[in-house]
Amino acid sequence: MIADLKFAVRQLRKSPGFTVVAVLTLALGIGASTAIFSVLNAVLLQPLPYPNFSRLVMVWERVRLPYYQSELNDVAPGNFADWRQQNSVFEDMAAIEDRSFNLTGAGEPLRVEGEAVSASLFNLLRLRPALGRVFTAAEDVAGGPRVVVMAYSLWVSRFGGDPQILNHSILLNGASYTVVGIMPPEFLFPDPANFHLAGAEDQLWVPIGLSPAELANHGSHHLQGVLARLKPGVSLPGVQAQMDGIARRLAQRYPQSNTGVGINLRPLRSELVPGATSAALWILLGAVSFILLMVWANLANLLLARASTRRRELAVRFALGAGRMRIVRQLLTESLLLALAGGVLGVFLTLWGVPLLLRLSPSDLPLFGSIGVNGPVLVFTLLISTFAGLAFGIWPALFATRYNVHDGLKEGARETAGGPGQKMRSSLVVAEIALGVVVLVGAGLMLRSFLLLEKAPLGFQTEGLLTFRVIPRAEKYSSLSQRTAFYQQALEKIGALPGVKSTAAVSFLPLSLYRSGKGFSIEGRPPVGPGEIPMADYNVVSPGYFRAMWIPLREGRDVSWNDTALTLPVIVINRACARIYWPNEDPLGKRIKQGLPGDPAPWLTVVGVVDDVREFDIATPPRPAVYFPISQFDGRGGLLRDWVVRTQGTQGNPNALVPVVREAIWSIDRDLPISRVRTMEQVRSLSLASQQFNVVLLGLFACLAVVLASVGVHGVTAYAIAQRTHEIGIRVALGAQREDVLKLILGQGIRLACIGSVIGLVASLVLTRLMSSVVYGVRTTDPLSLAGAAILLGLVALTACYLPARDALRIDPMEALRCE
Amino acid sequence: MIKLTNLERCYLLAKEKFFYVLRDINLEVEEGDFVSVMGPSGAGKSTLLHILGMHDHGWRGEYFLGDTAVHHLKPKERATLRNEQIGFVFQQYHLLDDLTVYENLDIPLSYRHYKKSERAAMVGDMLDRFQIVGKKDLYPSQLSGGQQQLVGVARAIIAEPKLLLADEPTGNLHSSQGEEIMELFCKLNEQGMTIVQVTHSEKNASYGKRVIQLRDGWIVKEEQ
Repeated sequence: MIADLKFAVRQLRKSPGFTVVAVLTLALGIGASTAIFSVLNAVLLQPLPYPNFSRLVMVWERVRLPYYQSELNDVAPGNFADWRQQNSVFEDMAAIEDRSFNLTGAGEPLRVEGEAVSASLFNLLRLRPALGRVFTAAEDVAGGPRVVVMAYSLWVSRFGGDPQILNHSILLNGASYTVVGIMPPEFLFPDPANFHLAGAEDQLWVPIGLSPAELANHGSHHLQGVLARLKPGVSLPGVQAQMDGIARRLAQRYPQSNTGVGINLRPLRSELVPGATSAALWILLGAVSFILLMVWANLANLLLARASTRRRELAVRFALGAGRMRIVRQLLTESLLLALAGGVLGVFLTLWGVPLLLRLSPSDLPLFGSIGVNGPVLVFTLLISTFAGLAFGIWPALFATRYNVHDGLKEGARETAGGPGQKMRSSLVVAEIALGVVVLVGAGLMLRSFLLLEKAPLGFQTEGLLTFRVIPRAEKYSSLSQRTAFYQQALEKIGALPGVKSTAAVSFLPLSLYRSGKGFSIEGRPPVGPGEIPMADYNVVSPGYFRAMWIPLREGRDVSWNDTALTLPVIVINRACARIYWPNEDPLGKRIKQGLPGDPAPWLTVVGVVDDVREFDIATPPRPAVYFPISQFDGRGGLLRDWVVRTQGTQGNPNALVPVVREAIWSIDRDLPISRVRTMEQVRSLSLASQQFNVVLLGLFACLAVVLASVGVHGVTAYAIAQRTHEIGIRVALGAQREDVLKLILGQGIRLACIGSVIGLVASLVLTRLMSSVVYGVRTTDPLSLAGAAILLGLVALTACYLPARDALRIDPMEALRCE
Repeated sequence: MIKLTNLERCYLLAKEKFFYVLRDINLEVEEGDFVSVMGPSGAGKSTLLHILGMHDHGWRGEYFLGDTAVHHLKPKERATLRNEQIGFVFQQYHLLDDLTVYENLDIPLSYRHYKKSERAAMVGDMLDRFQIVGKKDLYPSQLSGGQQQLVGVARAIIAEPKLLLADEPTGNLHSSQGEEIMELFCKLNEQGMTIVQVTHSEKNASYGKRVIQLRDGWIVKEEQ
C-alpha cells in the first residue's frame, strides 16, 4: 500500500499540469459543496437548542372558508383554552402573543420586542433561567403582578449585566415591571417572527394573563401561535387525528366562529425554518451536487485519456505478472490521492467562501449552529472526497486494465475512434451535459422568478420614502383622543420639516409579513351561512397615508382628521375588495360592519377606493383590504406603528431626514424610542433577499456548469481528434474536404450535446417540480427556461467542439499517414 | 496527362537553409501510361506521389494535369480536381477500422456528393468486380493483408478516377498477394487508367511501361 502511495505521488508529480488541473477542479466542486452544506447543516441539521425538541410542535388554526384561507391562522384564545382542556396527547400547551415595549427610565428610550406567554412555556422548552426564576402560573392571570423575564443580551447591553436588577423594577410602556429572571445567553425563543424581521429578536417575556372572558372568545384570533409538547409515545399523525376531532366538536358547538376552522400541527423545526428556506437550501445542495458530479465526470474523462497514454506502462506491468485488481488498486490510489488533495484545498476554499456566502445570505436565515468548517462539515468533506476518488477513479481504472497485453506492448498502439474508451468518454460528456442542463434550467427558473418579482407592481412608490417605527404605548396614550392628538401633532411637525413632501403612519407597513384578516357583514345583504362571512385584511392609517405612499385614490376621498369618534364612521377599501364584494355596484356609500349583522359594532361607510397594494410580501397578490382612520379606531390593534416620510423629489436621500425626524418626535415625547429606521427600498430589498440569494448562487452554479460542460466537450473532442488524426488524414486523402471534416467532428459533439440535452430536459421536468415552492409567477415547466438552457448548452458544446475541429482542418494527410 | 516542369520541393531547416526533397523535376506522363517510380529511401518518391495527388502544396514549379494548371489553383480547387481525377492506394491500406468493407467503399463517393442510390449501385458493382461481395459486412481487422489491399484498390478506383497513384501498394503483402494486386493494376491500365506507382521492387516495376529512377530528389534515369 505504501509502495502504491509512493508510486502515485511520483506519477502525479510527473504530470504537474494534469495534477494541478485535477486538484483545482476538484477543489472547486468540493469547496462549493462544502460551503453550501455548512449553511444547510447550521440551518436544517443542527439540533434545536431545546431538550427533546422533536416533541415540540406549534399549533395553528387552519382556516378554509369561501373568502378566506389560511394554514397558519392566528389562534383565538377560546380555541386555545378548549384545545388545552380537551386534548390528552400533549404534556401541556402555551399561548404566545407578540408584544413590544418602550423601555425607558435610564438613557435613550429603547424599543424592545417581546412576547406575552403562558407560564407553562418555559417548562415546555425545558429551559431554566441563568439568574432568578421564570414566572409562575399564579402570576399568569388577568390582572396579575407585572413581572418580566429578560434576555441575556438586553441585560448586558442595557443594565451592564448587573445582578442587582433581579427583583427590581424597570419601566415598560410607562408601567413598572419587576425583573424576576434573566435567560441564558444561548436562549432562543421559538418564534418564527424573530427570524423574518431582522433585528427584532425577542428580549422580554411577560405573562399573557388571559382573562376568563378572553378564554371564552372564539371569534377574535390574536394569539401568534401556541406551543405544545407531545407526550412520550404519541405520534404526530395520532395527535393530528385527535385534534381534528376536537376541531369538529368546536365547529358544532360554535358554528359562527369555528366553521371551517381546523387545527394544523407543525413540528417546531419546520415552523422555525420556513418551507421555502429549507426547500431553497436543499435545491442549492442539489445543484451543487450536480456540479460535483460534473467535476467527477470531467476528471474521469481526464483519467481515461491518461489511461490511454499509459497503455504501454500497464501492459508491461501485466506482462510482469501484476493481477488486474493489483493494477486497479494502483490506479485507485492515484485517484484517491487526487481527491483528498482536492478535498483539502476545497476546505480552504470553503473557509474563504463561507463569509462571502454569509454576506450574500438573507438576514432572516435561521441558524441553530455556527456556519463554518466544523466536525460535521469536515466529515462531509472527507466523505465526498473519498467517494469522489472512488467514483471518478474506478471506471477509468477498470477500463485501463481491459487492454490486451500484446496490443499494449505494440509501439504506437492506438485506440480506434469507436473504441470502448471513446464510448465511455462520450457517455460521461452526455451525463455532464444532462447535469448542466438541469442546473441551467433551475437557474433560469429562479432568474425568471426573481425578475418577475422585481417587476411585480407593489401598488405604491418605494423611492424617496423613509420608514421607521414609533409606538406610543403608555398610560398617557390609553385613550383614542390622546393617541389621535399625538399622531396629528407628530405628523404635522414632521410634515413641516424642510425636505419632507408628505408623511403618514400605518398599523403595519406593506411587505412586513403581517396581515390581519377579519370577517365583516355588508348592509342589506341576506344573512350568510356559517363560514361564508366576507373577509378582508384590516389596516389602520393616518390621513395622508395613500398620498405619502403614492397609492392612487381611484374613487371618493381619503380619510381625514375630521373623521372623529363623533362623526360618521368611515373606511377606505381597495379595488380587490370593491371587485369581489361589490362586483356590479359602486361601493361608495355602502356600509359594512365588523363581525355579524347582529353584533354591536358600528356600521362603517365606504368613502374611498384605492389601488391594490401587496401588503404581506412581494410574492403574495393583493387581497381585499379595508383601511380605517386612526381617529375613529378604538379597538384592539388601534395603534399606528410604522411611519413613512416622503422626501421632496425622488432623488433625495431619505436617510438624511433621520436626525430631524427623531428630534421632531422627541420634541413631543422624549420617552418614545424610534426603531427600524429603513428606507422603503431597503424594506423591499429585504423582502427580495432570499430570492436574490437563491438566484445569485444558482446563477454562479450555472456559470460553473457551463464552464465544466464546455471543458468536458472540448476535452473529449480534442482527444478524439488526436486519436483520429490518422483517420482524418485518410479521409482527406480520399477526398474529404474542409466541410466534411468539420461535419465529422462537429457532428460528434452535436450528437453528444443533443443526447445530453434531451436527457437533461427530461430530468429537469421531474426535478424542477421540487422548486415549485421557491419560484414565483413561472411554472416549473416554463418552456423559455427549458429551451434556453438546452440552446445555451448546445451552443457552448458547439463552440467547445469548433475549437479542436479547427485544428483537425489543419491536419496534413501526408503527415497523418506517415505517423502510422 | 501529367506535365511537371522545374518542380521543386524543399523544407526550411534553419534560417535560409533548405533541405531539397525534389529538385528540378521535369516529367511527362501520357494518358494510359503506367509509370513506376523507384529509388532508395529518402529519394523523394512518396513526396512526388503526394504532390501528384495534391496532398502537398508547398512546392514550386509547374504542374499540369490535363489542361489544368494545378500550380495556379487554390487549395479548394485542387481538392475538387483531385476528387474528380485521382485515386490513391496506400502501402498500409489505410482502411477505416470502424467501417465495414461496404462503408469503406462508400466513403469516397459520399465525399463526391453522389446520391445514395447511385452510391449503392457503384459499391455493388465494385464488390462484384473485385469478387468481395461476401466480405462487404466485414471489418478491416477481419481481412487478410491482401484482401485489405484489394479493398484499398477498389476504394481508390470506385469514383472512376483517370489517374491512380499507388504508394508501395504491395509493400506489406507477401509475394503471391503482391502479384495479384499488380495483375489487377495491369488490367486497370489496359482498361485505360493512367497509373503512377512508387515501388522498391524491380519485379513490380516491370509490370509498368516506364520506370523513373529518383536519387536525392533528382530524376537520374528514365527507362521504357
